[in-house]
Amino acid sequence: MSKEGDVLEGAVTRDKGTRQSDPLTTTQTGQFRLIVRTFARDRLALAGLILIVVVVAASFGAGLLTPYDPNEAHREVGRYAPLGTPGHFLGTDGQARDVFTRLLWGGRVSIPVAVLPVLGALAASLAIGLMAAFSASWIGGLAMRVLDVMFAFPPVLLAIAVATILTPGMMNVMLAIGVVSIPYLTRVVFVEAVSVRGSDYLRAAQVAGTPRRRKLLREVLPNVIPPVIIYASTGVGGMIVMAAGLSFLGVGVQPPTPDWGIMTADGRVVLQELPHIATVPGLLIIVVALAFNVVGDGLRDALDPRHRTRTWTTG
Amino acid sequence: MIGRRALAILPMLVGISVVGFLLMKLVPGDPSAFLLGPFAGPEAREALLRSLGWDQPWPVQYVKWLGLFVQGDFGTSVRYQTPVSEIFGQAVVNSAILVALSFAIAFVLGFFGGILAAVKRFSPVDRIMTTLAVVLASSPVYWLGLVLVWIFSVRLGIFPVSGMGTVRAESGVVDLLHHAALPSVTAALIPMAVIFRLTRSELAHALDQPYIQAARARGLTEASIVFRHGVRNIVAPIANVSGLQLGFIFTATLFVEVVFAWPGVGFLVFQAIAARDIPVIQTVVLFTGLLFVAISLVSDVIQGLVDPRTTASVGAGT
Repeated sequence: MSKEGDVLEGAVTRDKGTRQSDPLTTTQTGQFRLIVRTFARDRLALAGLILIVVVVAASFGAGLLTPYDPNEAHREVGRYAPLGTPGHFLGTDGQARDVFTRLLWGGRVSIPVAVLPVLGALAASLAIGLMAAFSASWIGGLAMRVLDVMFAFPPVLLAIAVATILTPGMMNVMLAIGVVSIPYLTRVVFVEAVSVRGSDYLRAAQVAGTPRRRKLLREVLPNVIPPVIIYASTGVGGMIVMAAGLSFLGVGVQPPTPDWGIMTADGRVVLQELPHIATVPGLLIIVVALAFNVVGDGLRDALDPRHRTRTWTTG
Repeated sequence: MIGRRALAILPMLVGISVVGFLLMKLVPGDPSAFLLGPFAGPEAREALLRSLGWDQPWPVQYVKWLGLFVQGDFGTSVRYQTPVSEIFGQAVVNSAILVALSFAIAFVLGFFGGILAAVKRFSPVDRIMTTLAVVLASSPVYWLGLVLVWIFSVRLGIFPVSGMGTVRAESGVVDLLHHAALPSVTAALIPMAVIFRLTRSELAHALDQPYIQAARARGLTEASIVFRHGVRNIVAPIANVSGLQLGFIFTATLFVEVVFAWPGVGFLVFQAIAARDIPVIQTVVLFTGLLFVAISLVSDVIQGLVDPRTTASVGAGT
């Protein structure tokens, strides 16, 4: 580092003592409030968020909402008790288990099985994308080439391949979903990071001798994170659908764990007599996936004022 | 230009083949134990490994395996004990029928629906179609299939529940289409929604441009404005996305074939998963990778033909 750089660095550290009244910090809190307000004004996005919170709360509070165990067989009402059976308003399934209870407990599996891996993939893609964009090392470039190859496979097939290699099960489905999410999220990070790399404000920071770490944290990350969060929150909806699909095919979560995809597969045999067993879990998947899409759109409007256009609402 | 784009594909092809090879190598469990049974001694095991060439280093195995693969030897199915190429060939034909029908349905309905919605923007028709498209795009494919089966097979009894043809009946084109109706519509619904949304938003944007106002001022008919001035300008993005949707339809048929017991590639994979039939899964994964590379290449070439401005950046894009 040059001499001038040291001087400027000193100036920056001295600044830290007065952070409390730093005008920059106050604008940032103001910006945060603006983001929250913009999001809250979008009634559709707010409804989506509330819906997600309600479904998650109902799933994790399942013990309070239903007296039964998800794997408990109710011999007194028998297998395939119809809708509206006293005590079992959604009836029972092929093993005399309460459908409503399994629906609630299924949310504990079907939602985290998609959300957690996407969060993990988000962290991984930030690391890979930033490294590929800012490090001179060949590792970043190689990682991007490997991800290019992964793009050639449809996510579902890639997930099937991963789940087959690792034997089916909940942990491995999550791994598969994480793996298939990384190429998409990394591409978003990489594209944004490259556009920041060529920006005037980064060059200004460079000239001002801002240390590399601070440059990444204060200049690059704030510009890279919003688009990737928007992409991830929309992607979670798709991943919930895919995770349930993998369960449906038998490479995902394994029975007797309650899961919306498994419930749909189980209900197929009685589609004629009791169509609700197969269709209600699917409806829940659609509603939750839609909610994540709507929240993603709301976040896009709130975080990125340049893209005030909705992707799908009439307007 | 096309030559350079094709050259950029080479590393992709190598990568895809490595993934396929690793799929076979990374699967847990000793394959010799599976092939010989539990009572085989270590000598028999070694003899088998040598006869299969599995005692050699991985790079050597990879080159030999790739050589066989290129010649059309995809290994032997564990489940059927027949060459994979035999089973796979018929499955590809059956899937291709489904994919072609689906793509036609998705494109025609999505494209013309999108034009209608863009022209009648904010009308009740547009709002209903747009909402429907949003809901469809978030739906699991297999669930849509079950709902269609319930409505059209169980309730109305119009279409058969599963299979590709009526047993013990003259299998003609009509019978095939009758059986293909529900599965192909199921696989088409989501791509249709995607093509619809894109057509609607692109055309709506195009119709807001000054040259459309100029066309109106010149007194052209509405049809001429929409098709000759509006639609013409959105062909490039629609062609590009439609190409990608062809790939999506292929993925969707994985689920659709399971729901409708359609004897295609998806059904084959489904059975192979249950039987841990690795050579079959490997073949499907490899060919899907090749298919997707081919789709993106063709879609780039078409893009270049439709919109010559993009050709310059095609080679640099990858």
